[in-house]
Amino acid sequence: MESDRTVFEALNASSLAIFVRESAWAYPILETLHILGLALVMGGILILDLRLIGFNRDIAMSALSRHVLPWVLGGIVANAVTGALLFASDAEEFAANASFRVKLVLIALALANAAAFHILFKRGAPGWDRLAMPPIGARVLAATSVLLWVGVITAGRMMAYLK
Amino acid sequence: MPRLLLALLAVLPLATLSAFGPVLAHHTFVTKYDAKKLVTVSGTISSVSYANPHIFFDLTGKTRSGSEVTWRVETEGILATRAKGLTQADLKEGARATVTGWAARDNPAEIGLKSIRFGSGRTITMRKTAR
Repeated sequence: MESDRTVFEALNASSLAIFVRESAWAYPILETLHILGLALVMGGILILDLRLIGFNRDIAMSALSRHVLPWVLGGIVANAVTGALLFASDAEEFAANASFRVKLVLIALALANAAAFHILFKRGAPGWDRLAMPPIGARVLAATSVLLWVGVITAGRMMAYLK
Repeated sequence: MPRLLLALLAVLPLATLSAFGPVLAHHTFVTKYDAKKLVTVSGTISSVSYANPHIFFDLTGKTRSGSEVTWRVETEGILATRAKGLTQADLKEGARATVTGWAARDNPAEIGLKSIRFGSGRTITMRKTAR
């Protein structure tokens, strides 16, 4: 842990971190972009997962994911970048923040869940692309995904309240 | 089945909260500072962290018994303080100031800023309540 501390200290002292925290506008702009990214990720994931759980099955799953997934991926990239910059601005503090640690674990679980869905169900998709109820395993993973992303947002917001 | 799964969505935020218990906050005023503990202290600004999301500065003065004490004062971010007329030029090491604010629930030496009066008599009120 001692070497970790030094890494976060160095990050804290970097010119980029100093710019983010000492510029009047950098921090509020990054926070705004982070919320926009969050809207893309959560909005897209929720729409896809509700469809997978079994709502609105007259909409073709393949067409829906072709439309939604690129926006979700864009949101994830945007938030990785804005999140890294916000983290750097107060690295030692964030690294020690319990809510932030919970948030990172939940993001990792949510991404693993998405990867598991991709591996287990992508090939079977044409069989339930429209109208048919998706297999129970796919529905469970979709519901787990929603829970995990709601958890990510909750833990992220709690960073300011629960250390 | 979909309704059951939706109902489960309501559970996770609570589960997440309960996972790490009632640890006190850092950034949010009312969880950190006690609205019932309004204090006024005077001293000299001894260090300043002029940074977002919240500005912190140290004020060194004397307690009633005469011993030296340093209070850690927290206020808003750069844009919010600037909008109220509290600038980086005001928050300089060596400046004399009287600070009124709410003491932290767990540390009487930490103060959430309500208002600040400088040696010139100029007073800036940053917030009216500890909400």
